[in-house]
Amino acid sequence: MSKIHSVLLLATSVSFITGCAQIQPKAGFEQVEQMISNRLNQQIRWVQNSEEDLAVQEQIKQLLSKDLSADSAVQIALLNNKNLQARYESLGIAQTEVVRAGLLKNPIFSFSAKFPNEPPSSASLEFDLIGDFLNLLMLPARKKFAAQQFEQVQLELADQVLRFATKVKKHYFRLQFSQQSVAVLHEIVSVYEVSFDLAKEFYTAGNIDELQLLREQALYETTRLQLAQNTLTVSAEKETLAQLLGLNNTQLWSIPSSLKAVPSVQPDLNNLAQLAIEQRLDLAAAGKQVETFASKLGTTRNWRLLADAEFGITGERERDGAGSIGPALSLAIPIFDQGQTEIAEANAYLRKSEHTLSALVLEVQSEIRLAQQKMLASQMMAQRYQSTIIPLQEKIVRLSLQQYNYMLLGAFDLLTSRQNEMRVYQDYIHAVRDYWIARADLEQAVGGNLRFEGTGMPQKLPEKISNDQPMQQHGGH
Amino acid sequence: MLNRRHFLSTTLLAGLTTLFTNTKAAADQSKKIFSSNSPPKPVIVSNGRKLPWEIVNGAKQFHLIAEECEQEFAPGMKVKCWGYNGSTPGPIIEATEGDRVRILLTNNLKEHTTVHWHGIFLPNGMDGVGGLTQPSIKPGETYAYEFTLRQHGTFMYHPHADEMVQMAVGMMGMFIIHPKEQVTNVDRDFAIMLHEWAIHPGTYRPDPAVMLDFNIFTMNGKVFPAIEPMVVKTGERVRLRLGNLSMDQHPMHLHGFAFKVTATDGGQIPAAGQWPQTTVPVPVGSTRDVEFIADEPGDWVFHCHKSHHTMNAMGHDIPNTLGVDQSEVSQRIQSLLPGYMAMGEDGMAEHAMHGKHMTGPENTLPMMMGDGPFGPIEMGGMFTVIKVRDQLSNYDDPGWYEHPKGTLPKKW
Ligand SMILES: [Cu+2]
Repeated sequence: MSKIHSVLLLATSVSFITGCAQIQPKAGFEQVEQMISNRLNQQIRWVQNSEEDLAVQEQIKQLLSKDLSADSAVQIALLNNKNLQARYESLGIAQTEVVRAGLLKNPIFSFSAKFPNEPPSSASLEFDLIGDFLNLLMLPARKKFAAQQFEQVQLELADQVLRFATKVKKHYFRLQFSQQSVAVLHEIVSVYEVSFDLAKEFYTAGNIDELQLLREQALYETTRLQLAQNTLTVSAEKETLAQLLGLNNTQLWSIPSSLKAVPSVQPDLNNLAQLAIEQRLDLAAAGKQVETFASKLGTTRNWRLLADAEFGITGERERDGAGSIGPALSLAIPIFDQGQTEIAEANAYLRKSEHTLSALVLEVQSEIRLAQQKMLASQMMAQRYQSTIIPLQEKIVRLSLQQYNYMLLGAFDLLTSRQNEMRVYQDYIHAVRDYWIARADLEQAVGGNLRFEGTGMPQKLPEKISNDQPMQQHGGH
Repeated sequence: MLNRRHFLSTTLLAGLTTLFTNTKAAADQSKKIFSSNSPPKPVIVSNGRKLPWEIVNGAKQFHLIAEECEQEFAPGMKVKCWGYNGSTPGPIIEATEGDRVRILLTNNLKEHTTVHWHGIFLPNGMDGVGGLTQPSIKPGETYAYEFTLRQHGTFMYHPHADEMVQMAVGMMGMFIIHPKEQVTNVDRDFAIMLHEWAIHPGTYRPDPAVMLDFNIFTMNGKVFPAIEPMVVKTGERVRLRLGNLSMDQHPMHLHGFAFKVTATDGGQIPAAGQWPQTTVPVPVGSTRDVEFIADEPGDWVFHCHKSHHTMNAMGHDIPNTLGVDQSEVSQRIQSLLPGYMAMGEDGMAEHAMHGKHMTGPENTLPMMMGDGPFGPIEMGGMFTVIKVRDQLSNYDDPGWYEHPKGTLPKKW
C-alpha cells in the first residue's frame, strides 16, 4: 500500500508545484492604473460594486459642478464610461487564462479487468495512471507564457484607455469649437439682420430697389439657416461627448465657451520617437508578444523530442493474485516527426510578431511626424491669425468706418467689412481647434503627455474683436 | 503811376520780376503817344509764384524745371504731383508783347517731356510737340525755346509728350503776355489756373487713368478754404484770367457783379461781343479773361457752378441716405460696430460738422470745409471769395466783411 501512498504524494506535490491558482478580483489593474497615471496624470477605477464606487461618484459630481476642462472631461470619462468598464473585465478574463495555465492536465486513469472464460480463475486487473509528461515538465514555462500574455493584455488595455482619453479630448475640442463658432455666427447673423433691416429703411425711403432689398434678405436668410445647422452640430457633439463621459444628459454640465489660445510655450518636440519608445503601450505590448514567442520557440526546441511522451504508473494484478506496480513511460520514437512542424510554427509566430512590431514602429514614427506637422501648421496659422490677420481685419473695419465717416463708403459695405472680420475670427478659432486636436494626436502618438520646458500652461484666448475700442476721435482738429 | 500796394501783395521773387517788367514797361511807355494810358500792371497770382528771368543775349531768359513735387492742396492733404520748379501749376511766365523770350526747360522727370506754348504764335519748330516738331526732351536734358512774343493775352504752357499722364498729375502753368500798354485800366489782375484731380481717398498720387470721376478741384493748386481770397478796393477794375487744362469745362460764377468776357486765348473779344454775364464757362484747353468793376463792398463768392466741383472727395457709389430713417437700426448697428453714426437722412449739411470731429481716411479732406462768420460754409474745391472793401491799407486778407446795419436778412 505504501506504493499507493507514494503515488498520492506525487500527485499532491505536483499540484503544489502548479501553485494554488486562485482568481483574484482586479488582478493586474493596479499596473494599468499606474501606467495611465504615469502618462496622463489621470486616475482610472474599476468599479466592482464596492464602497470605493461611492467615492468615485462623488468625485465625478465634484468635477461636473464646474465648467469642464479638457482634463476633467477625460477624468470623468475614465471613471464613468461603461465601455471602459467592460474593457476592464477583459483583464479578469485574461487572468483566468493565467490561472488555467498553472493547472496541470488531469492525469488519465485507465483501468481494465480481464475475466477468465473458465472459473475459478479470478479476473486479472490492469490500471494505468498516465500523465502528459511534457505537460508537467513545461509547467513553469507555461506559467511564464501566461504571465507574459497577461502583461500583454494589461499593456493593450492601458493603451486602449489612452486612445479613449485622446478620443474624449478631441471630441471635447470639437464641441468647444462648435459652441464658440455658433456664438460668433450669432453675431454674424445679427449683422446680416441689421443690414437687412437697414435695407428695408432704404427701400421704404425709396432709395434702393426691390432687387437690392431681396439680395440683403437672401444673405440674411441663408446665414440664419447656417446658424440653425451649426446649432444642431453643437447638440450632436454634446451628445457624443455625453456618451463618452457616460452621462445621461447634456444640460447638467457644460464646458467653457471659448477655446484656449495656442500657448506661447510649446512642448519640447525633440526626441519624440525616443519618448514614444519609452511610453507607447502598444509598442510595449507588441514587444511583449515577441518576447513570448521567442521563449515559446526556445521551449519547443528544447522539448521537441518529448512531444508525445507520457509517464505514469502502471499496475497489474495477475489472475493468480500476484500484483505488480511500477512506473510507465511511453516515448515517441522520432523517426518521422522530430518536431520540425512545431519549431517551424513557433518560428513563424515569432517572425510574425517581429514583423508586426517593426510595422508598428514605422507607423508610430509616421504618426508622430504627421501629428507634429499638423500641430505646428495649425499653431503657425493660429498665430498668424492672431498676430496679423485679425488685426488686419480690425484695421480694415476701422478704415472702412473712416471712409464711411467721410461719405466715401456706404453703410452696407461697412457692415460687410464687419462680417468679414467675424468670418476671419471663425477661421481663427478653427485653427486653434485644429491645434488642440493635433496636439492630442501627438500626445497619443508619443503614448502620453508631451514634455514641457518651463510652464506650458495655455493662456487665455485673446478677446476676439475689440468692441470697446473708440474708432473715432471727438473734438479733433 | 505805380501803385506801391502791388509790391506789398506780391512775393519777393514776383516783386523783383515786377520791378523789371515795370521798369521796362515804363520805358516803353515814354515812347507812346497815349500817355494817359498807364503801363500794364503785373498780374497777381494767389497762392502762386512767378518765374524769374534775366536778360541773356538780348532775350528774357526763363528757366523751367520739370520735376516731381509735393503740393499741399490744403492742410491735411499733400499730393505727389509733377510740376515745374517745385509746384503745380508751375510759376507764371509773365512777359510783354514784343519781348524776345528764351525759355530753358530742364527735364528732371524720369520720362521724357516737352513744353508746348498753348495759344502763343510762334515758329512751328518752337511749338513743343514731341515727335512732331522736336524730339522729346529726355530726362536730364535741357532744351531752349526762343521766340518773340507777337500778341498779348492769357496763355498756358503744358507738356506735349505723354500729355495725358503729365497733365493729370499737374504739369501746367500760365503764360501772361501784357500788351505794351494797358488796353483797359485794370487795377487788380488775378491769374487763376483751374484743375481737377483724381486722388483716391487715402492716397497721395493723382490717378491719371481716371477720365471722368475726378474728386478734387483746385484753383492754383489749392482747394477752399486754402485758396487765398482776392482782395479788392471798392471801385477798382478787376480782371480774372482763368485757364483750364483739366478734362472738364468749369462754369465759373461770380456773385454780386456782372462781368464781361474780354478775351480768350485766341485774343481780345471786340466790345460788341462782350456779353454781360455772371458765369463764364471756361472750356477745356482754353483761357478766359473777365473784367468787372467791384463797386459793391462785401465778401463775394467766385466758384465753379458744377456743384460737385465745390466739394472735396466723396463717394459716388454709396447708397443714397436721404430720407432714410435710421432711428431704429442705428443703435443696433452701433452695438455691432462701435463708432457708427447714422448720417445723411435730412441732407448732407451735417457733414460739414462731421468733418471736424470724425476721423476720415489718411490724407483726405472732408467733403465740405470752411467756416465763415455765420457758421460752416460747407464748401471745398473750386470756391473762393473776392473781398471788396471801401477802406484798405494793404491787400492782405481784411477778415470777414462787417455788414452795415439793415443789410442782413432777418429771422421772420
Ligand atoms: Cu468745375
